[in-house]
Amino acid sequence: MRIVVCVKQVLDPRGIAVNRKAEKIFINREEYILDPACKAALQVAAGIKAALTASNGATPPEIVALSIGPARADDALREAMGLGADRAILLADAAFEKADALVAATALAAAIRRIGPVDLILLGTRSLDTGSGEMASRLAETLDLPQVLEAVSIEAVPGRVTVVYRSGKSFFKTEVALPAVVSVVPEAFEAGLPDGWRLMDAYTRGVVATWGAADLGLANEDCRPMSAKKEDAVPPERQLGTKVRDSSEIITLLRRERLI
Amino acid sequence: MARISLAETPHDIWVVAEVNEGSVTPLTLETVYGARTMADLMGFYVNAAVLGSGLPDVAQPLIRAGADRVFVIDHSALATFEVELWSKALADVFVAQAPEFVLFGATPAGEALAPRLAQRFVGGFIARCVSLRIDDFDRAFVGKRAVFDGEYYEVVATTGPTPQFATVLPDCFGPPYMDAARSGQTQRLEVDLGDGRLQKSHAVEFEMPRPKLKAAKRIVSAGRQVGNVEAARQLAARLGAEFAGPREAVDEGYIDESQVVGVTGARVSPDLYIALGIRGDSHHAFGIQDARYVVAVYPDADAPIFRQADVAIVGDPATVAVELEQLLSRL
Repeated sequence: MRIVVCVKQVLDPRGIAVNRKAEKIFINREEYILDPACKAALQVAAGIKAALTASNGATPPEIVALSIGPARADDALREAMGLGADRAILLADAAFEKADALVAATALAAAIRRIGPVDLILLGTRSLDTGSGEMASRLAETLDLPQVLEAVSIEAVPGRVTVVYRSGKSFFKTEVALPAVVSVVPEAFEAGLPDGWRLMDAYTRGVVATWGAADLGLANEDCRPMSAKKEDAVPPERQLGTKVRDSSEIITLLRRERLI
Repeated sequence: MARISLAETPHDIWVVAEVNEGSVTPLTLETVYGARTMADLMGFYVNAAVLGSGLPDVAQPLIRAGADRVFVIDHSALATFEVELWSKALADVFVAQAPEFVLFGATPAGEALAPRLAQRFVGGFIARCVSLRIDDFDRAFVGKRAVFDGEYYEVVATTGPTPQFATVLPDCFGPPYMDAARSGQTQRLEVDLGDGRLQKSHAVEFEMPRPKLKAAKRIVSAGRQVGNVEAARQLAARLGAEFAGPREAVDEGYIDESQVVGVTGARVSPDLYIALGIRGDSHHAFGIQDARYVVAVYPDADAPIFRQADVAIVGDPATVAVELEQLLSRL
């Protein structure tokens, strides 16, 4: 069995300060971290590996961490190895510089095909930065696999997984035949710290393989983004609230905000 | 990337409608209305697609909100939402109908469908727009979305000529204007979903343990000045909300350690936070700064809680709690 965990390196939000009044965004410290949602996905992968290894004693599943990004994403992949990935692959190429989610998904899917037979593809539901939560669906579409978004618990047996997932305010349970794409809700999984020795090994002996567009069989045409960021914008300054006299006005306002 | 050939040059705006308990959802109507506004600028038609099995007639509200044509895709395999089947049905429709712009509400279904279709049609996609327009010069979506959990926004533009997609959050376009005089057509479309088999079992609802404070969507919180803590608890029960309070509420015996909101407790991010009799000093203020909508009731008009409130009553928390509970029971 092989599990691929797609990970993303994001800007550390602790280095960002937004002054709404002056309408300015300050990046005080440009540091990058492994997205917390990806850590949860790695946690789940490690859990599945432990459970399957203990239960049937057969060859333990292999966990592959996969990322697309600039050379600095190497760090995120080494941390992923510290968190349980057996090997790591970085998709880096000048052609990916302007990549949007479309190009990223195309490249990740091509890489997953190149890795060989993959049984489970795990991701965080939403990344910390854009939070658009689109990657799992895109991969499932490109690879023509079943998908489950927002998983809060995953149990694997050879050949299939049982997933409890969140949809709006409710939770549902489904059984999915592998291979499949599953995105996980980070809050549902207690994220552990990387194992110290593993992390040391990842940095000293670990190898992050680098694949370019040519390795993935992607032409320039395939790396053309269809969306691009134009600018940043600052949310409006927080206004003082409305003062009302009686409770029925509160109900009216709550209904207008669709809160009840 | 496999290019999909569309039957025609892309044109018009499409909205994928969602039907819940027999009627079109408010977010769908708002989205259709938004599409109408954009279509009027561009000289486009607005088409709404309704998917399901044994669908009720929902064309009227969609047309009133601004749809010119309502396409009904009624198929036994679409009885419940399964993204693999729904995206296939929509892809079949879009190949034949060649939409230029496609809008979804940012709901669990819309957020699963839109990226799948964007990937299939090699189109631009903007997720979770808080505002959205069509640039008439570039013929492209220009949308604003929150990044870093709302810390700031980012403006993103898509490019043609392939279909362009977006999901929109509530209040992106504002309340729809329902024009009873508007007329439109309804058309049924057939889709081929094979045997409608899935690689996964149909989802069954699952009872989860109650979410902890941090994940709660609604919180009713009682402070030292609440007066009648039972009324506050009843209001929480009525709303299906978690019951919480600031640190001093533990001293009063209103809550236990696990229910504390603030620096030394949980930092919460509910959609609705009702603060009853809480003065709102900084340690509590920190805990609720991510709350989306704050209702505050406190007897003293100078209390700092009012600086964080979206709606405020200067008055007796116990009375308001009782009144709210009664009003909600009648809804």
